Amino acid sequence: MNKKNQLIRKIQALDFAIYEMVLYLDTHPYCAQGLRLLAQYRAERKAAVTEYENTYGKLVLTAADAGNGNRWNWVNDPWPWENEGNE
Amino acid sequence: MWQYKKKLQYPVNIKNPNPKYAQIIISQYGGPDGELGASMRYLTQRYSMPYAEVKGLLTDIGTEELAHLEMICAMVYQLTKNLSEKEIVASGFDKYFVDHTAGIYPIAASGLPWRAEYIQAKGDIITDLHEDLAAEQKARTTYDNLLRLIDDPDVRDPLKFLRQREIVHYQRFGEAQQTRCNDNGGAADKTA
Repeated sequence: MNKKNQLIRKIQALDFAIYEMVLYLDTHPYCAQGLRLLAQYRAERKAAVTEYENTYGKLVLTAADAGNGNRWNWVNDPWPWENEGNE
Repeated sequence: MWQYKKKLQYPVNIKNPNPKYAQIIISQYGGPDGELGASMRYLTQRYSMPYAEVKGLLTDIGTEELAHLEMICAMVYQLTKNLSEKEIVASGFDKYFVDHTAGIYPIAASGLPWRAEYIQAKGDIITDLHEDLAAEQKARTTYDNLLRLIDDPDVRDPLKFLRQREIVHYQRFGEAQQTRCNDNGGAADKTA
């Protein structure tokens, strides 16, 4: 697995943990341990996403993103449903 | 509104195309208990839901289902890549191919296109949550049936992930049903 897809795997795992905490907190909104875990996973995710986006381009498009230089990189292959993005 | 993340929720990397598998897996896109219906069901029901945490749950699970239909479509896409005309005919994929080529169209394994009758929004919390609990189990059964028929580990792995998610969603909807339909304050972790 190349470095890019390794980082994607790490972000996928952290996103999964975050999503599990979100659904859990929807029905357990007073759980202090759950809120702490969510904050921890979010901090880890933020660091991983920054590392990914600094090297490989945007993962999530925001209003401030105009692309780097003279090329709109958001459109670059591979898109998520293609094998190349999942190897 | 929604924001797109340029990745799958869980990886799909199928090395060997198999149009026979594609024709049954597509049911979890456009079939009666598929992910398209799941997403539309929850995102539709939330508007009339009276309780904040159940509105949140329907929004969040409905959003996750969008990521699931993307995974199912990725599987169908990868399973139907680079097929020869001979393979298309031999696998029985010709009946789909003639109408859609290798495009990903929401149909059931039987060929019936997706229908709004697969979902319900009754505007009643008890009724809607029971529909949702049943829907999660029907989807889980469908994944069990797919796993009975499919050997390829590349295909089984994401199917097993998706099957697990049905169980987690069932758990969360059950908590919402038990707390909100039994009037103890709306939080499973708060004693009345």
